[in-house]
Amino acid sequence: MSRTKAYIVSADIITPYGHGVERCWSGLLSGKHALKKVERFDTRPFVSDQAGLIDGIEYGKEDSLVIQALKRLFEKPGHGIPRDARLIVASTKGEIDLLERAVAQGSDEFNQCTVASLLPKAQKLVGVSDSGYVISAACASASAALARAASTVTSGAAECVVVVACDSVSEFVYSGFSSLMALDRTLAKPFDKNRKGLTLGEAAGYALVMSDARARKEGRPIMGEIAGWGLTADANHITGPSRDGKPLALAIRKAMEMGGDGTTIGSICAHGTGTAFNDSMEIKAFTRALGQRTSPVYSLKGAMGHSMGAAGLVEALVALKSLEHGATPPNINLDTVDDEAKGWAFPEQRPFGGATSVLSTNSGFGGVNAALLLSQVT
Amino acid sequence: MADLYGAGWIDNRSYGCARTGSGATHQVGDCGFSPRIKEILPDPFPNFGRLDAASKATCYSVALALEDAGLAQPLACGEGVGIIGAGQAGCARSDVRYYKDYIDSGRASGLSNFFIYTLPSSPVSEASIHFGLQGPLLYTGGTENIFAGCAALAMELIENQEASVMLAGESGPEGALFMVLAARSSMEQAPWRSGAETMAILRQGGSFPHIARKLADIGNKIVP
Repeated sequence: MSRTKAYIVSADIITPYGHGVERCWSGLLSGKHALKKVERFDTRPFVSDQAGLIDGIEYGKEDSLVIQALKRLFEKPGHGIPRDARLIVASTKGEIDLLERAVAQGSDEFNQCTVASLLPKAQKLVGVSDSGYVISAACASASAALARAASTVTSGAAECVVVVACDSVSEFVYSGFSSLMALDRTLAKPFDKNRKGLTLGEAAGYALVMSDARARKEGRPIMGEIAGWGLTADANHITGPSRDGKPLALAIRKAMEMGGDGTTIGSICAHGTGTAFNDSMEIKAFTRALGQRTSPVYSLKGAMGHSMGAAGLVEALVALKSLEHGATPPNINLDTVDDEAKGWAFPEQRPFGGATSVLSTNSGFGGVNAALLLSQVT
Repeated sequence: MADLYGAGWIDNRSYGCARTGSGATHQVGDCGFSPRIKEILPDPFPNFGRLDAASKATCYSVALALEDAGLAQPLACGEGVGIIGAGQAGCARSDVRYYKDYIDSGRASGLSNFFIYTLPSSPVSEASIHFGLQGPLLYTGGTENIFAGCAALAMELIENQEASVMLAGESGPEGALFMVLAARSSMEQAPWRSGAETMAILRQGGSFPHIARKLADIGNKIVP
């Protein structure tokens, strides 16, 4: 009997480019970034004033920033998420703007602002009976959650799992990254020789992962398969990644081994934050994992900013678009390719023909790494 | 199903190893688990003073769990050894600490040493760094029975061969309990409790050190 497969059969995102995977893909292909000046709070004390912001979500509303974004995703019917789908919520800071408000007002109600407090709200918005659980793995939260969803489905523990991922640009997070001197003063330029840091961003989205048997039975359109995954940790430093990329390379190899023989990698959607250490680590990891079989590498974070816990879900869906089109999006803001990244990252869109799969990788504070192998379904 | 090999716990007055039944009292519960309890963490621990209380509790508990499971510290090879943490309130207290300090400073600048502990996964990350754990690293929460949920996830990772050994447990500013779960093929010594027995105990609910007592099957006996 063949192994159960985990297909992505429904998905949607809201990003600084707007609502929808197609809109995001078109925005990327335009070559123009979606970053802008932050007006939500005073950025004068900080290193930068730029971020990738979702239009129309605002501070000070009754709903938190992430709930405002999620409501826009689910306000129209037709997402096709069945009631019996299990629920996983992926985020690093959840409704952090509510905590900001509580602290500023001297309230002790901060326990209502944990990432877990998103669960009942997500359950109600999505319309599932499962109360769900949270996965938080720093900036690899969403990709780790997709891996768990795929694992749940392929093991037969459930027929379908919906992953809901979200994070927002808040004064809390912005001030924190500024204190770490992690922000580029201008705009993030992943894999660029002159990169100086990241630009923050926000996004929200969901992906419905379903068993192949049920997907076929229900006649679901299939966006792709989560064919493999790998989770590792650097065990190096609380903010600095491994210097040699070995743990991320191991995560990639685990993902590829799960995909089986005959897997050909067309492209890699990298974490690509634009910091000196992260991008260098990733190229080392890709070289270790793939050797001379280079695949074009791109990052979305120069275009949309770093959406932290949501990044992995947005990037996995864009990676599937790149597989569909047989081409990467351009690396927006990349002018002069760093020496280490030559042969891997290119400023322009790069075609790749005949590949069966793409990789999407994420890493995060504390040394967490996640790699997803996403494959076509024929 | 993976089996249980040991568990270590610490609360604001005492700590112990559940399998061996060893334990002791301490005096640092009211001080955020500082200074370092050298009986638990004897080796130099760079930046220990910088860790928040939840991260310190996690590192103590993981040290005790590894000792209880008969695993050397540091591990000879951390590949395939992962860690999952869980908690009721995530990092809410660290969030408040960071943001309150930021506001009190006039919103001029956040303290980076406070900010790095505002991720729910920070405590297990610190343990991963100190003990060389290079397998999967996750935080989970939100389930009614956090321990059972966390252990189930750890066992799934082992059964899928995504890890050979997993530390799994709950931590917070008041303390922590971590278990060592592993595939039999990965361990030299015999398991302490089967995975099924462990899950049955965890499903009864409770928090540390109550769960540690249940695992150790010592009823109401006070663990020192």
